[in-house]
Parts: sequence; structure tokens; C-alpha cells
Amino acid sequence: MSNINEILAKQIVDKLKEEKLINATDKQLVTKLANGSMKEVDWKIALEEIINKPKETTESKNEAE
Amino acid sequence: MKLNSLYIKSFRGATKPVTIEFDNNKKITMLFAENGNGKSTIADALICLCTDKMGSLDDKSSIDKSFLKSLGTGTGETKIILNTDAGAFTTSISGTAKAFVKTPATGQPSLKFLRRSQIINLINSQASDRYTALKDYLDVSNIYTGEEALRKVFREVEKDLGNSISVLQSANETLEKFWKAEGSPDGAMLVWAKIQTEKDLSKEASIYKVLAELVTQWQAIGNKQREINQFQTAASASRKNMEGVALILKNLEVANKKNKPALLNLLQEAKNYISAEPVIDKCPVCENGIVKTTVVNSLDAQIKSMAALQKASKDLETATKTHDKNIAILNTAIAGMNTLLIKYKTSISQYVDKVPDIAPFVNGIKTEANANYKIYVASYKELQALFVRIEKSAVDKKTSIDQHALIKLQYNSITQHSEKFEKLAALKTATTKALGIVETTRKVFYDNELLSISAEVEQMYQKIHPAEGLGGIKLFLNPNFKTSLEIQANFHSEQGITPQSVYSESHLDTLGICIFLALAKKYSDSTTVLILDDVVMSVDENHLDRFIALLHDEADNFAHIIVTTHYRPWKDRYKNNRAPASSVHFLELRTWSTQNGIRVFNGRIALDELRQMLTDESSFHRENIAAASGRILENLLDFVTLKFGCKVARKPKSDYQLSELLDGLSKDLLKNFKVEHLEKDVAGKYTSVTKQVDLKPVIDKLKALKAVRNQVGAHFNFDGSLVSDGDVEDFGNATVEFAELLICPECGALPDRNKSGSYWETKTGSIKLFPLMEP
Repeated sequence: MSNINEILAKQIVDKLKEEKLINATDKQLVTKLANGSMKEVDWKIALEEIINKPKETTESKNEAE
Repeated sequence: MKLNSLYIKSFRGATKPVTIEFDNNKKITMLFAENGNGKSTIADALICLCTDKMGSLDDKSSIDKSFLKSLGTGTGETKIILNTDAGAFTTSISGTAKAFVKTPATGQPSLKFLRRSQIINLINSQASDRYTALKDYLDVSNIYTGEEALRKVFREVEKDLGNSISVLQSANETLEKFWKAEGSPDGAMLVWAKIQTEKDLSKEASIYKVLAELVTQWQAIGNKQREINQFQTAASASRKNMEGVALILKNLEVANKKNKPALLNLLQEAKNYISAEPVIDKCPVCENGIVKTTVVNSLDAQIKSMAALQKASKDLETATKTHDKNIAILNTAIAGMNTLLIKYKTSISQYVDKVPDIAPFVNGIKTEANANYKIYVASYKELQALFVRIEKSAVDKKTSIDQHALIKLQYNSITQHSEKFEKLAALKTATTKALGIVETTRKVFYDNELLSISAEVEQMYQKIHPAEGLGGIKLFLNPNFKTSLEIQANFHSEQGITPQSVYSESHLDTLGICIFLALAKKYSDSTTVLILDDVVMSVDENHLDRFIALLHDEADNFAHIIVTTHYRPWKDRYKNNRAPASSVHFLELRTWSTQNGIRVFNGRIALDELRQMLTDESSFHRENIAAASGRILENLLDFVTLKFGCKVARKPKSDYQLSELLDGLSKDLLKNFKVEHLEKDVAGKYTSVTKQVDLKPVIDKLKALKAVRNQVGAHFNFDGSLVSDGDVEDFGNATVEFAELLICPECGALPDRNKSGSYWETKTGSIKLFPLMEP
């Protein structure tokens, strides 16, 4: 079993992914969070990646329909 | 992972290379030795190999790393090699840094270790130190670091959002003021502002530029006029001064008509000559008689009169120069004014149709300065009136342009900050949610971890201290501090107390061991090796048996458990099959010396030693066989009489001897005294009875031979010599027979469990011992 930081880091990142606050494919976050190297800039990049992601617009859906 | 061997060279007590061969069919290895024989060296070797710690040296206040290597060995000789079924792991001490260099660098077995000093720290220290003692297991400071970074992002975003709102508010207010001042046109402020922003004001700007240039030119003419006025005043003053000085000179010249400048020099020299003569009564030129003082006085009067004339002449020259200079400056100014007037005439000529009053100026200005100046003076009133209009127009244009620029600025600010505001607001929402998730997950996880560990500790503790009014173990973090680990427990009727206040030292020891075991178990994996380095000091028989049982129950959770101890009763529980001896690889360390280093020997159980003496003729030793058989029988009968609750004569120390114990087996008991041996089914469970043996004949045989123990094995007497070797062998073989009937061939323990309620059985279920209690 991993150490307590790794277990908790994975739980946290899984929940953030569930809530669609961070990218589901980002695997670096667990490592950084577990080894204590998670910086402000890492959080910003991770959160902004979702915020700035072009949303699946209803227009394009309608066009598809 | 299975451990094969551990090689230690030139490390601490290993002054000679030593290899510990592990029995990898057994999960537990016990290293028994009296103090100072190398137990901790072996434990520390594994700790230094598998972790970044230094084992028992970490407990010391100051460490001299020079003593990591053995006495008398060179730097660089130290080597530790652990051979496992997953490969070999090696470490050595680097010469300069005295640090351990590991090969491979990673992938070592995960090692959990507990030493006596850690138990003391764990239980008796302050909550914060307790947290530190368990930091390797419980510390989530890395997560706190990430959480704090996220909190900083939240604060930063909140601040940026506040600034953005403030900028937007200010821009809106400014824009609204202009919009309202304009009569709230275009239906909405931002629509109006957008229209305003898109307006092309380049024409307005170029008009303003022309007007501003006219204003500048007229102001320059005004400034030049003021200069000319000043220079005229100066010229007038200098002219007046020049005329005054000329008049003075003229008057002096009239008064000194005959005097010439050459005469002045002659008079001066004559005066000097006559004054210098001590006696003179004749004129040196005409030789007429003179009075010296009269002549000198006369010469003085004439010289003074001629000096005033000379000064007036010089003053006039100076005054003339000053006046000429002033006139020159004035003329330069007038020339400058002329240039400005010509330029201004050109600039305003475009307005002559609209403002005919300025026609005389526009048409009159040519090239000659004085003439132009006169025209300017003559047209000044009309020109000033035109300037007032131009200036007002320029101010109006400027105000309009500035206002437009301000509207544009505010509108752009609103546009840009609205976008920024939206992003920041989204980031704030995301950050708030993320922070909430991190905080909650961390807290819930930690609380659950501690709850789960507490439950595990409680379960383990109850195995050692069943029905003793102890337990209710609860580990929790002090809510006011991140790194303070509190312990609560029950003590009979008292709930939630600090166990340190009321628990005995040995109860606290076992609590510390249980907490450590629970943590090690929780965070263990298939490579986890557990080291218990001399953790048991002094425990009574019952608690020791329960602790051993706990350890064996938990062994499957680890790759291997290594126990070091100097507590002989623990070793003897295995040696005498009072603990599952077959599940333990038993090693003994003999006396250490610098010459021999650590000496490791395979330990054997007492029954194996007896078997050896009985089967190997070269090892036959009648006194030893008699003595060993007696001790083994006393051990077995002690177990049996205790389990059955047999009646024996009370003794203060319960140190019953063979005869007393044999006599304790009553007739009624012996009628029912039997064992059943079972064999495993396909599922690996002992289900089929293979042998049922009535034990009364075995006991009767032992009773018949019991004298051999004292006569041969305990005392020096004549009767002992009369006992035959055959009787000694029979006594030994009867003992082995009895032992083999009672001892589990798989785990090596006696049938000490009452699961059925009608008989005793071994842990594995291989042997059933009847009855349950003495009838």
C-alpha cells in the first residue's frame, strides 16, 4: 500500500475530477500533491484548464442535429 | 517478498562478516540474545538498508557517523546485502559523506520498525511529540502544503476579483456621469459609449491643432510685446543717464578750457618732484623764487580739477555703451516681434473674410519691422478680440476631445474587465469548490484513518487484555493543532480518559505496541518487513502468550516479521512449545567479541534437543536425557493441569515438580484423558481423525519412570548409578511420545484453544485434547 499522502492525494484528485474541476487525464497532480510540490501555479493551471476549455456549445449541438 | 539471507560486513557490531539465513517458509524470525550481542546491529542493518534512517542511532542525541563502521575496519569496507526472492539489495557507506549508498537506488522492501524507546515516546510524550513519533505513518504535511497553495490561489483570486469589481464600478460611474450629462442618449449607456468610442475624431483633433497653434502664436506675440516694453523702458533710462553724464562733462570742459590731459601728467610729476625735495626756493624751470608749500598746494588744486574732467569723460563713454546695448536688444526684440507678426498674419489670413476687422493687419503687415509694429499696435484691439474667440474655440474642442478619450478609456476598461471579471469569477467558484473538496476530503480521510486505526488498535489490545476493563482506545487529532495526536481509553467505569493517568506501565507498553502494529499493518504491502527490536521487557505469562498469539495472527499481513529480544521467557515459550514454535525461525546470538563479532546459531526447541540425544548415539548422555525429559514433562504437565484446572497442593511460587504434577492428574481425568489427531482435507482443513490415543497408559509409563528424573538427571547419588541406560532411554522416549501426542506437527504449539466447548484444540485444528475440564 502507498503512504498516507499518496492515498489521500489520490482521493482528493479523484473527487476534483468527479466534480469536473480538473482534467481527468492529468496524472501529475496526484504525484505533486502527494510529495508536497503542488504550487499555486499548478492549481491555477489545473483549474483554468477546465475554465478556459471551449465549452461544447449548444449551437454546435444544434448544428449537428 | 520472501527474505533469503542478510549479509553484514564491517557494520557496527559485525566486526567479522556475518550472514543470517532466513527460513523463508516461516513468517517470523526470532533473534534471541542477551544484551550486547548484536541484536540491534542486525535490526539497524536492515533499517539502514531499507530506509533513510539509522535505526537505534537515531535515538541518540548526537551521532558520530564514524562508528557506523565496525571497530578496526576501514572506511568503505561496510556492506549490507539483503537477498530476497525479488533480488538482492545492497548498501555501503560512502567514504567522504558517510552516507549510505544503495543499490538499486529504489525498490527496497518497505520496512516498519519499532524500538523500545519509540514506545516510550509514543505513550508518555506530549501529543505533539506523539504525532512526531508516528509522523512516518500519519503525517499529511505534503497534502497541507498543496492545500495551503490552493488557499493562496483562492485569496489571490478573491483579491483580483475585488480589484476588477472596483475598476468596473468606477468606470461605470464615470461613464454614467457623462451619459447622463449628455441626456442619457441611445437608450443605454454602453450603447452610447460604444457609439462614442467608434466616432472618428481625427478632424476635430486637426482643427484643435490649428487653433492651439494660433493661441500659441498670439501668446508668443504677447510675450514678445512685454519684452519690448521692458527693453524700451531700459533704453529710455540709459538714454537719460547718457544725456546727464554728457552735460556734466560739458560743464567741466568749459571750466577747464586750457587744460589738456598732457598737462595733468606734467603737473602730477612737478608736484611729486617739489614735494620730494627737502628744501626748494627756486623754480627749477624759471629759477624764480618760490615758496614750496604754496607751489605744492597750487599744483594739488589744478590736478583735482583735471581728474573730475577725466572721470566725466569715462562716465559718458560707459553710459553711451550701455545705451547702445539697450537699443540693440530692443531692436532684436522688435525684429523677433516682426517675425512673429508676419507668421501670425499668415496664420490668420484665412479668417479675414469672416472677421473683416483684422483686414488692416493682414493686409498691412509687410516686411519692415517698425512699420509692422505700428500696424500691430493699431490693430491690437481687433486682434485680441479674435484671439478670445480662437482660444474659447480651442478650449471647447479640447474638452470635447478629452471627454471622448475618457469615454473611450472607460468603455474599453469595462469591456476588458468584464471579460476578466467573468474569468476571475469562474476561477473563484472553481477555487472555492476545490478548496472545500480538499479540506473536507483531508479531514474526513484523516478522521476515518484514525477511527479505523483506533478500531484496529482496540481489537489487538483486547486480544492481549481481554475482559480486563481496559480498551476503548481512541486516537484523534487535537482540533486546535494539526500535529497533536491525542489518545483516549477506558478504565473500568471511566470512559475517555488519558490512559497514561491510570494504566500500568506494562499496559501502556502493550498499548504502544498495538498502536504501532495497527499502523504498520494499515500501511503495509507485500514487501513490508516488520522489525520489533527488543520491544517486550517484562510481561507476565498470560499476557506474553496473548501477545505472541497476536503476533502470529498478524504475521500474514507482512512479508516478514523480525523479532529481537533479550527476554528469555519469550524465547522459552517457543523452546517449550508453549507458543507456535514451528511458525518461528528461531536464532540465537552468542557472546559478542571484537575478535569473533556477531555469532549466530540456529536455536532448537527442547524436544528436538531430546530427540537428538535419543537418536544420535554419539550424543547419548544419560544425565542430560533424564534432566531434559524431566523439564519437558514438567512443562507439558504444567500446561495440562492448568487447562484442566487440576488439583495440586498449593505452593507460593507455583513451582510444581514432576511428581506433584503427575499426581495432580486425577483418576477421573485419566479415564477421559485422550487425544485425537486429524489430517487435512482437500480444502486444507483438519477434518478427518487419523488417530485416537488414550493417554492414561502413557501417563502410567511416565509415573513408573519418574524417579529417573531425580536419580539420574538432578542429583549425584548411588541409586542413580544403578538406573540402567535402557530405563533412561525409556523415560526419554515416553516423554517424546507424550509430547508428540500433544504438540501440533504444523505450528508446534499445544492445544490451547477452546472453540468447541468440549475439548481443547491446537490453533491449526490438528489435535484435539479431551476433556475440557477435569470431571
